[in-house]
Amino acid sequence: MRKHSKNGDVLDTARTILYSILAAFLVSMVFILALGVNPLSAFAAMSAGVFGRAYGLAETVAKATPLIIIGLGITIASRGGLANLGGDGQYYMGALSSICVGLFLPKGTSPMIVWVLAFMAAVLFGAFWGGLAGFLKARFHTSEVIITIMLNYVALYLVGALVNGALQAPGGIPQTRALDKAYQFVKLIPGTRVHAGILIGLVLALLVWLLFKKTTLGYRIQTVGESPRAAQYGGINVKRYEVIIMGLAGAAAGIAGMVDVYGVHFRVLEGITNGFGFTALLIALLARLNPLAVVLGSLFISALTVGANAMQIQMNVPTSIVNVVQSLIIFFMLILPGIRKRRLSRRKHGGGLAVAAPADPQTTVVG
Amino acid sequence: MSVIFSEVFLVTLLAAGVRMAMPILLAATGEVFAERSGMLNINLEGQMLMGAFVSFVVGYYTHSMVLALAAGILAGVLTAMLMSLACITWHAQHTVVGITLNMFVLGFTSFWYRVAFGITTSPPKADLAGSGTQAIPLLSKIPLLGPVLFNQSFLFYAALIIVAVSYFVIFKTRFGLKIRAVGEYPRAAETMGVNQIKIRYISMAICGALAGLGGTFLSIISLNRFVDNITASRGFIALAIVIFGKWNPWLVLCGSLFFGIVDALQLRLQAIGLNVPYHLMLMLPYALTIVVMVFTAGKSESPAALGQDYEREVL
Repeated sequence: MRKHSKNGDVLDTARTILYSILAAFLVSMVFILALGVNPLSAFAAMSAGVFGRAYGLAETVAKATPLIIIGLGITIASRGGLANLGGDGQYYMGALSSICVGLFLPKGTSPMIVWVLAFMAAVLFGAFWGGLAGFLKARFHTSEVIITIMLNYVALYLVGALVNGALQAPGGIPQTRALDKAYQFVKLIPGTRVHAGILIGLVLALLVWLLFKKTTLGYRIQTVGESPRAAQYGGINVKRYEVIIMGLAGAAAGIAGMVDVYGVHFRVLEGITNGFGFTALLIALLARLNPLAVVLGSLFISALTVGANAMQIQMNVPTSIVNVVQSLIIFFMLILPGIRKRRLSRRKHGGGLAVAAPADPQTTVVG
Repeated sequence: MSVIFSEVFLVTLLAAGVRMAMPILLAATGEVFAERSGMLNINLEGQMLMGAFVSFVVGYYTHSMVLALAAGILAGVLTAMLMSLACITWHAQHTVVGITLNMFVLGFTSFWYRVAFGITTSPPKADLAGSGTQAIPLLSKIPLLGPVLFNQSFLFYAALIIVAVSYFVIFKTRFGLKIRAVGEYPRAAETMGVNQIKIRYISMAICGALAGLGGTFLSIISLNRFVDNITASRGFIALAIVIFGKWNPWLVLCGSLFFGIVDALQLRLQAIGLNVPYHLMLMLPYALTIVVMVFTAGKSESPAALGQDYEREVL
């Protein structure tokens, strides 16, 4: 990853992101227009849904929490040159293992002990689920893209089998028993879903930032990502690092699962993650793999989601417009540097024959 | 248990397996073209999904099988062209673009499905003429083989021809040689006067068409409806099968049939009420993909320039 050594670079990046967001919104306006809805009043409903009420802002923070944490893990993976599409599966493993801790420790165990053990279980199982993809890549040269996607389904159906079987609560609904009240995370703002998990997210963001800023581990991960061959020559055991990198990414997603279970759902059921892993991947790209920017990116995407819910209720615009907007933002971010360079080289060479120098290295971070 | 070994069970299982293999087979055959030309087309899933959606909508409103097929193919091609523009013309990285466009297609199809059909408990059906099976006279009367191979959808017969033609094109024609040259060593190919940009675009278009057709099979022939994310990562299973099949259409056919039959087997086992949680059955195709990848990934040699961007030298 290139350092933003010059102010011009930062400006350039900011401009690319801004243009991409504008372009994505323009396209979505066309979608909304085609519905026969005035896009401006739709956007007004959207922003009123977020900023017009305390609930909207609180919900934005609550929904951003798992995205931040998974996004941080994906930041680590992508900086290490690996594509982690397994956020959802790792989240499920964290949720599953941590709920077991909460449900099966003897009643009356101090909440602190439960939380610490649940956290460790989530880290362990998430890391295992992510690290497995890293291990298979290192050992058998499997593509982590395909393996992590397949592991999502394995985890999903594992949860399905358990909440319909061994872990099912009495009553016939496919879900686990609820956590004891004493073990549920404290609400930071009473009456909303904002819970202590956001603090975990913020601390983790700081830690990941420090990881890359200050530690050898971070430096090595980065080196493996930039050039595995150079890393190998430099004495880094690349295969081992592939396991470590995916393990860290999985651990983060596992923590997100634990945080959601203890802060929001208080139980595990199918569908508690709704493509969070993929959204978090887009957020990490939007944040250009900057851990602190991941927090902002998550809040932004989460606000879009909350706003879109309001928009659906008032204007009948389907919430899936959020998927369209967020993917288009990233799509434009990916192609803008190429378009710009192409135009520059056209101008330089006066003809269409020659094509520009390689695209912006920052767009070539995953895989 | 004895029911498993009866002939009726075997015939229905294999026939269903062949049917379930079709979407994956078509998409994977397309991906062979893309990857042979060096394009790591992670967007396969999105191209299938777009084909499934557009063909369903067109079929639903026009009641025409031909139009639905054409629309599904076109939708796949257009999606593939988005990916090609970004990766070939604007040099963005294949994996990231593919993932991003998959998300886009997921949002796009889900959005317009809601707009067109609202939220319903009973999804609308396309019910197109010709979506059933077409028995081939005489051949379909052969015991065992007849009902399995010669009483299928017309698209199955078409798919077999597509596989044969794909093999021939890739390995026996000048055009196929160019595709492989671009995928192995674009610089050398370019020196020999091959326009690598054009070759990659054409390969992606073929891939998009076949993936769109695979999605079409899923929505209007196999399931007769569209639901959100109907492809359920079959595009990624197809990616795995391409590796398993060593980028060879005939081996890809074998791999797809294997997966189709396993998929059909888990459904059959559920149906006869085997005492295994059905979620674990659903897991089977995905778990199997992992196992297959572990055993084949290291052994097959991918095209050397797969996933790599190529820049023309500025003279």
